[in-house]
Amino acid sequence: MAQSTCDDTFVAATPDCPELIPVPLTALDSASGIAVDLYVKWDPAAAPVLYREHHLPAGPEEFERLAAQGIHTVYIPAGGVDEYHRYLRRNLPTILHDASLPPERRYEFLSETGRGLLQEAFRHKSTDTVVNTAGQLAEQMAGMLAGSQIISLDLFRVLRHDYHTFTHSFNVASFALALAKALGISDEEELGKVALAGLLHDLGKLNVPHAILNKRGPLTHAERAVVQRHPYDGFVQLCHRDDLTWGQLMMVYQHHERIDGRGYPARIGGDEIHHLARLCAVVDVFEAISSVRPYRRALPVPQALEFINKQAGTHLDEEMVRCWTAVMTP
Amino acid sequence: MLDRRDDAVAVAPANEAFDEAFARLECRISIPREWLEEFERGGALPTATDELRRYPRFHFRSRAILIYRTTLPALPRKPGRYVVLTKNVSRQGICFLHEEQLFPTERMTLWLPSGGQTEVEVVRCMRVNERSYDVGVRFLHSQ
Repeated sequence: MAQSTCDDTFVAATPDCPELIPVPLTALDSASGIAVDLYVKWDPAAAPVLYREHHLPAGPEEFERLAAQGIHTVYIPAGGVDEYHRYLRRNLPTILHDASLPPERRYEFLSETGRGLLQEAFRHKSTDTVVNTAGQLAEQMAGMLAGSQIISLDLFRVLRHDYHTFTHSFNVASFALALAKALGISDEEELGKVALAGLLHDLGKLNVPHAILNKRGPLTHAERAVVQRHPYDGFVQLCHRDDLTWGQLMMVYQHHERIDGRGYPARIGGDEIHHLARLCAVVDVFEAISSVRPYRRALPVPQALEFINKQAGTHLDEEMVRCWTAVMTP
Repeated sequence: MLDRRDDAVAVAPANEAFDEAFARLECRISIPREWLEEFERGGALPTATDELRRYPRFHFRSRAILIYRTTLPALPRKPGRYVVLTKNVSRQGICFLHEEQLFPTERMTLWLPSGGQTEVEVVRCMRVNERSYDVGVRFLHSQ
């Protein structure tokens, strides 16, 4: 297990300390308790230490005290992840409708819950389960973002940036929603469809072996071919359903096509690529380079924007890149 | 090893119904100039070492008619007939040039000049130019 270098990665197991997973403190300060041990890193350079055992009660005021001391991330044992996800789901309706909480805070909670739900649904390997779970999640995402004033930079700050497919899917869906809104789509139902397709856009990656997805070195020709099958596989898994629109299917199938016609799988270009697929391509590339990958560090937002601007007109749609740059620039 | 040239191979008689149907259609496919030589070839296609194909492919240049029906729930395809130009064939499927993009798992009927009609399923489709898509289909069953 790799030693932790940032808050979004696992922490190595030691004889005194199990393998730990970071969770944002803000995901825990609700009235309902969570039955897992909590660990805290008092010193950023030190290993986390046990803070509270699972059977001891802790209230919101305790978490507020931690936040006041500059602690924004706590750790839970990897074995407690299922309980953590149950806790998030129990509290989701309360948190989402709690008008006293800032919208970014509520979206962060939704992000934590959504990642867990997606992870479980992807594990099922049933397309119906994935689509239904993603559909419910997309409705909540669109409901939160359609009428809110959350700016995209705040959205970026509350999302995690690790390399898990479910994290990437949730982030791409969130950014796709934000970009669709900036491009003038205001109908909540339409935004929900964009969010759902964003959550499903990499469904085909579930067929790609972890050894290839997490490879640190350059991919071989054969490995690259396996990775490049994922838009095709995702489309084939979804295209016979009658509950998805053509635009949603094209977000899955065409999000790796390029404006200059050098993408995959069909090498189409320009306007032949569905506008929602062009939208998805912009936020997909942005999310990928601004997140940690096994083979490289995350780029900060200004450099990530600079990168996608260099790709405008060749790889990515110019107008959509311009719009995304505008909403991500303070 | 093949021991005959294309023009020495017996050709099935043309089918009148096919010819009539074909005469009413317009061929809008644009064959790239660099592909003309490819279209002149006969015999078996070379194979690559990393190829996963189970059966060899043979050059097969011919006209054919592709018959559309509704294919995917979200794709509004109107029933219709289109000219396609076949490139090569194997025991499992056939490749042809078509004027528009098709999508994986779409099912259609391919009508060959001999009069035979076969149900096919799209396996891949790649753009060649603005009026030409390289399509690979697999045979489902023959009529």
